[in-house]
Amino acid sequence: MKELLTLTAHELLELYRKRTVTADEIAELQLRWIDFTEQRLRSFITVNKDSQGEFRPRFLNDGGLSGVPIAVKDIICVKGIPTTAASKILEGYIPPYDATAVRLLKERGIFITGKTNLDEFAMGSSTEYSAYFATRNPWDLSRVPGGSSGGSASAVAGLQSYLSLGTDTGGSTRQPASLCGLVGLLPTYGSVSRYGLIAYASSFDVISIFARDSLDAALLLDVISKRDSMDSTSALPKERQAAEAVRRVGGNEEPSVAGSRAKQSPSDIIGGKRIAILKDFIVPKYIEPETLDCFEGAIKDWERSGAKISWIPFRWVGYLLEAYYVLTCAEASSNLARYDGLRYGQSRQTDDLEELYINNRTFGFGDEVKRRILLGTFVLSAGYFDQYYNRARRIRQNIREEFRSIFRDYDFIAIPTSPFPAFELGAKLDDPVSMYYADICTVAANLASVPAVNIPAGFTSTGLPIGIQLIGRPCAEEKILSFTRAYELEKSYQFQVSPIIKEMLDQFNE
Amino acid sequence: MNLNICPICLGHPGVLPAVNREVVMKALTFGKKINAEISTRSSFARKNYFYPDLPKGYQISQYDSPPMRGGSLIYFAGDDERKGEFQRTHLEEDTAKIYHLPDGTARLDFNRAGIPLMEIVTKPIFHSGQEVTDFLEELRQVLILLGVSDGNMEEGNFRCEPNISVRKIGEERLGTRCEVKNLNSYSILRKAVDAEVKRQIAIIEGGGEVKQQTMRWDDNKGETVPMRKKETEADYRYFDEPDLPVLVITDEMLALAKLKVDEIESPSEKRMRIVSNYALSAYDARMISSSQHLTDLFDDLVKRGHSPKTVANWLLGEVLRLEKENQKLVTADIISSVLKLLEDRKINNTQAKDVLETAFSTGKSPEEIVSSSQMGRMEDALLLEIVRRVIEGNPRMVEDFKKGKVQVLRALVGQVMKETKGSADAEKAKSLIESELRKT
Repeated sequence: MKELLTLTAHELLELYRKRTVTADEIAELQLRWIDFTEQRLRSFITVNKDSQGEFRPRFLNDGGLSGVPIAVKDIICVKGIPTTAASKILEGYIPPYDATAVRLLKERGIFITGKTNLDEFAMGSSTEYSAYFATRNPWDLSRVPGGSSGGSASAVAGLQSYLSLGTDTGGSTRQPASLCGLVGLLPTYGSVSRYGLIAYASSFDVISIFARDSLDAALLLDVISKRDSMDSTSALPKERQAAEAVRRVGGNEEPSVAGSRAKQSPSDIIGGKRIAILKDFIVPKYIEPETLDCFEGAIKDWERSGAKISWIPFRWVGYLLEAYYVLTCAEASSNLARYDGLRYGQSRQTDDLEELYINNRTFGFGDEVKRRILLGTFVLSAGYFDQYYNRARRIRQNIREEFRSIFRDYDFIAIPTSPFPAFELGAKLDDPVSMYYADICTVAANLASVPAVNIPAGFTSTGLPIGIQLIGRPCAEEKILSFTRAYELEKSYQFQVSPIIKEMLDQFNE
Repeated sequence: MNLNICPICLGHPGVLPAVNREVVMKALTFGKKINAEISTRSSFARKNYFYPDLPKGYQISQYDSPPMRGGSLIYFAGDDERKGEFQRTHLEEDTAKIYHLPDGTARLDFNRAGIPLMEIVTKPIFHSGQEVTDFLEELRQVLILLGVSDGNMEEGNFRCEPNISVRKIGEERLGTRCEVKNLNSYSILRKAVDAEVKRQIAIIEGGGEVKQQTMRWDDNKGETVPMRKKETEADYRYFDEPDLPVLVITDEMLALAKLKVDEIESPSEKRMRIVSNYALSAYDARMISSSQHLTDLFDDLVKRGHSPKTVANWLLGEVLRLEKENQKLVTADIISSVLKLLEDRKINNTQAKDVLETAFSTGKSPEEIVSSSQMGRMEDALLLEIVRRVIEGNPRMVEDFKKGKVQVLRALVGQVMKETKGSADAEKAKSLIESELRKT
């Protein structure tokens, strides 16, 4: 029975349909496994031990993800359970409401396994900036899982949940997905309601998905991607039906029959696609050698399947991180102004108002958060606004236009996801800026507000996962996931469990 | 007690704002009324600062892109017609309210946090506290008529914060200004404005410079004093609110707003219409137009054919008196009936006043009252009889009249009126007496 923990969600749903196992049994199994592994993985800040009460999973047999255990990043509000954003300033904070995305999960009978660890307020690329503890990479426990959604990544890679919700503001889901060997989907900005998502950078934040394959990602996207009147930036051109589109991508079958509802073979999907490789990223200056090799290997696979590959320039490479950090820190400095301990969260008593603000925020926030608030305040301040914030805004506009122009001639953009595989815990803590470079390949999609996905593409010689990234037009998630599904089928891709986790599974006494 | 609150107005982690559509429509009707230049696209901005009454640590406002610019509103300062000009109008959210208690603690009332406000900024064109309140009253009435506000200063849904500066006569540049806050009645506002002007003049004449500050009115001292809050040169680090998209005003919205505007008539518009359409005195016009009720009565009665001057006299005289004494409104029907009886000469002025009062208090129709009481118009024959009797009974007066003392006529009329208990038509009695006397 414990092998069931290694399945994909769509495989599990098959078993539910056949009544081979029930949602309650899986929830119980899942919780016992979490208990068994948490000491070594540290994915969760709060585990939801209540699988029988109000959080009880229900299998609805509606084609969706009902009854499946899913973890939620601790920056998304779940009513009645502590939500901390991995910060001391929100220690003990219990939201009085559910985020819209969470409400949608609950409505589908999904079992929320718990709140996963992250870099404090989603600011970081390794989860080491969490105020509570660092999470481990299931492929090598001495290494980081990536960040900021490290806990969500390790939960899925470590078999503690079948899927998880993370967030992606500058790569915080795609990069950990790459480091942990998972599918990491960044939906189009605005297509998932941000109501209930603790804001870091309002015009960048997107609730995102960790999955074991493309079909699972599509299934979860269908659940959480809905227009929401509580979020004025949410917009959706039409009802999501990503899973249906992805399911139509058949196995190694006959070429497609004419008619849009028929299954399409992988080569149908991949063949003819025009893929742009942004050559200015694909350089040793940014990307380490094994990652480059893996990336080029994938491109060759696509070429063999009939895709049209073009190497084109991207002249904004040198501006990406700067524009990203100026803009997100500016928004963050404003979004985090509400944390003063007066209405909720931790507070230190004093008589003087100014001291109250200073004490609460000095002791409540970690160093990286403080760094970004200071930076953000600076770039918005009188005298510097034009030089930094306004300029960064113009660069962002240019990048959006550049992407628009690329997508007039191409279907997808492909670049690596992370410049390097999982690094050791502590390796980048001395130099915050070197940590920022982890995002070089991911921030572009956030700046342009386009969807992107990381897919596992291979391993380093030492057995660490390497991922690659596909970027599409706004609202093209169905097309992207269909492509990655096709690629999965072509390579007979199966979700891989790390040797360490395999060993733990052997030892696990259900 | 914080009762009307929710995670959004408390600025909980993860909450998001949304624009109140009804409020946008209200703002548009106001913009249309004052003929402001309306921007079809305007954006929201964050005004960032720390204070306990600001839950998010920023206030959502509209900084460099207000939806409405300019516009004007005619108002009356005494009998002078003036033009109040506006600079800009925009929407923003309200903060919470702080109550400083005598024991040194402070309490926060979040019930109004996040409530939408429409901020209207005038041009610097007023020169006294009285002018300000004259203008404000017109503005307040317009806002109430449009359904935009309850216009209640004490309740805080109509707030005024004057910005005051002084300069030497002939000087073109405006002086440094100070804002005065927490004024919740017209009389305090007038006092504060005039006191602040005095304060600034005193500083300048003493050789000093006016420092930019926020002031409040101290009733005990009878002067404006600096507010408790530390006043620093605030850098609000304004930037576009990323949680709200651009506010788009459509043609449909503008058309709807115009419809609403066409339905109403502001006090000064009423007044000007009454003055121009009817030959009333400026005073009468002002008095009538100062009340919607009186204007409505006036319009109604004139429409029914009664003379405007008569209507005006009656409204400002008897009607107002009765309403004030009885705390009840008179209807146009009652007044019209009385006026008709008067016009038909069935009753005289004195009687009319009584009839009105009786009709008002008993609810009976004026016609009923007149016919059922002694107040009926006397038959001419009956009157003639009384006239003859009076003439017979006053031979000496008759002699005097024949001698040419015409003033005796008045006394004879008086006698007839006495005999008829005031119910005779004086004019008729007079002409009857005259004709009878000529016969003798």
